[in-house]
Amino acid sequence: MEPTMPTLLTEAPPEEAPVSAPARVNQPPRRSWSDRTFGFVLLSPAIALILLVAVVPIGLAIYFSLHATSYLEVRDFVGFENFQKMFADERFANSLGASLKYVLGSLVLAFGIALPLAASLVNGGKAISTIRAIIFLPWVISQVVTALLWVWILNPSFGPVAEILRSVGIAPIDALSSPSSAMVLLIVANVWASYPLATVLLLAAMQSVPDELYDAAAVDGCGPWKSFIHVTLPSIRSALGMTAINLTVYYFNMVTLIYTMTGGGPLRSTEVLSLRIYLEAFQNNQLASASAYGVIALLLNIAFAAAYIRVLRSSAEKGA
Amino acid sequence: MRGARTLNVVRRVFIGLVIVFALAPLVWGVLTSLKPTQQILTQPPQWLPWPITFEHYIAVFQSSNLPQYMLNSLIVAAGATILALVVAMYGAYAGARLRFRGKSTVLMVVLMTSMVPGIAVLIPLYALSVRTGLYDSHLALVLVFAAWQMPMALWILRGFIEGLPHELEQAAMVDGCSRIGAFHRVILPNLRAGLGAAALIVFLFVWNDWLIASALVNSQDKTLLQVGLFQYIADTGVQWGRFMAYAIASSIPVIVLFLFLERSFVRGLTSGATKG
Repeated sequence: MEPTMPTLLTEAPPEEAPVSAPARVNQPPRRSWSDRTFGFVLLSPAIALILLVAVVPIGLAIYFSLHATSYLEVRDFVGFENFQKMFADERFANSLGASLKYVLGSLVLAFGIALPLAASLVNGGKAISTIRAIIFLPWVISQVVTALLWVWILNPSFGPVAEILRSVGIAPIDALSSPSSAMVLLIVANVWASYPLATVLLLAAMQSVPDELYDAAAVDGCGPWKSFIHVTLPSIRSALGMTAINLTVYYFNMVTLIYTMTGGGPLRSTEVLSLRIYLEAFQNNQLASASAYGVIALLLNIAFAAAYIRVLRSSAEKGA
Repeated sequence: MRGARTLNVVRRVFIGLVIVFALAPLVWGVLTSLKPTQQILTQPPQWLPWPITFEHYIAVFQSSNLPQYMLNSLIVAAGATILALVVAMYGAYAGARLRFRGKSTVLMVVLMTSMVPGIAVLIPLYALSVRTGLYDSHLALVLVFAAWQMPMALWILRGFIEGLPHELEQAAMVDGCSRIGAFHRVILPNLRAGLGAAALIVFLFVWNDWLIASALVNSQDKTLLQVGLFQYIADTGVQWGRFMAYAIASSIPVIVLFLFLERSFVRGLTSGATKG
């Protein structure tokens, strides 16, 4: 089960320290290995796992995308033919558009809930942990279950949402089968399960803002709203950035919730890029063209990762 | 002062609405799962189940493979969690305590891979698992899940180790421990909170995953929980009582885990995200 572990345990540095026990406290014991060797030995199982599930597969994905395949058989090298076909396919542009709507819509709604909620909870006293536990609950629910719960609560005939709409005189529609509204409901279900994470991250950042800053703002005559704008937001800027990028990556690469809730329909209105990859590979069995889609997704992810590292670095410099 | 009071009211109302939003789908699902079948498809809806029945839960446990799937998920999640944590903790120690050239590059690569999306490498992993004969085995799942979550665990643990005082190891080394011995004897026992937090997150990920489990395993006796639920929906006619019972039953283990260990979850998530 753990093929990478034994090498690490057996190659651990020889236990010779007792012989050369140092006399002074601040002097490190004589070491048989340099920090560099020891560091790489400790990191080698991690590097092996990363090679296994990230580096090699990414290389393979690029390799597939440049070849013709029939099921798992790799045939001729075809250069960028798969990419040319993909760019010409209207489903490609459609999936990019759907991804854009899905990611942006989810981000806006998630922050629209998480930011005011975190701000409301930050001085919440003892109730805070109870409330946090309740609002966090959807985050532990799987995407399959999330899709199922939302399809059921939104049921236009037998669901409570439809009943409430009827009681105020609105005729409920089957919103999941209309291209214009399916995306909205999908975003709502998605945000339901994901805004808790954003809330917790932002809340943690807000809690670490020093009180003195608020005191100073109060002395300067700032009310709660002004001090939120002038103290809270600037202080949590890097947390905001990291949360936004984290969520973007998460939303952009989602398959399960969308596949279970709408299957990409109606009329491909919710067929985002990640779902397109999945369908191309596992329904159409077109590994080469699915890999071409995958390479595009990967490039976009690299851009997100680069942005993440920039935010991380700039916040580290500021903290230093 | 009037403004402050209004703000307070707005705050409370907002929190209340969010709580309703968070709980409504779950509560409606639980209520449905406890209703006799004829009370489920009514208009207007019957709000509360009466009499309360457990027939859907009994049916799901007896006529579907739910118990088997739960056991499979438990085995794979436990295996992946242990493997990911063991690999991550040594790497995290090197990342937190040793100084050497190339370290920051390696750590950046680790962080980058934690952002490699499942869908982008799913096809190659599928192809690889077929070629190596690991396709349709729990071993393949354990390896992939562990590798997947290891970078995140490493990042969390590094943050926790950096929070421990250097004197711990120095004292141990004066007492004659080697560096690795010092790690095992003094760092590990103080790392329980970090290991717990990372373990919870890895476990939850595996328990809830559908994508990887559906691509790498195909026989019935090896199916994981979420894949099983998906198939149950596809294979059974529309029976919302059963669906909800299945969905709730499959979520209860992680809900219970979460309610008991919420603090640990939150610590893990926030340390992973805020530590540079």
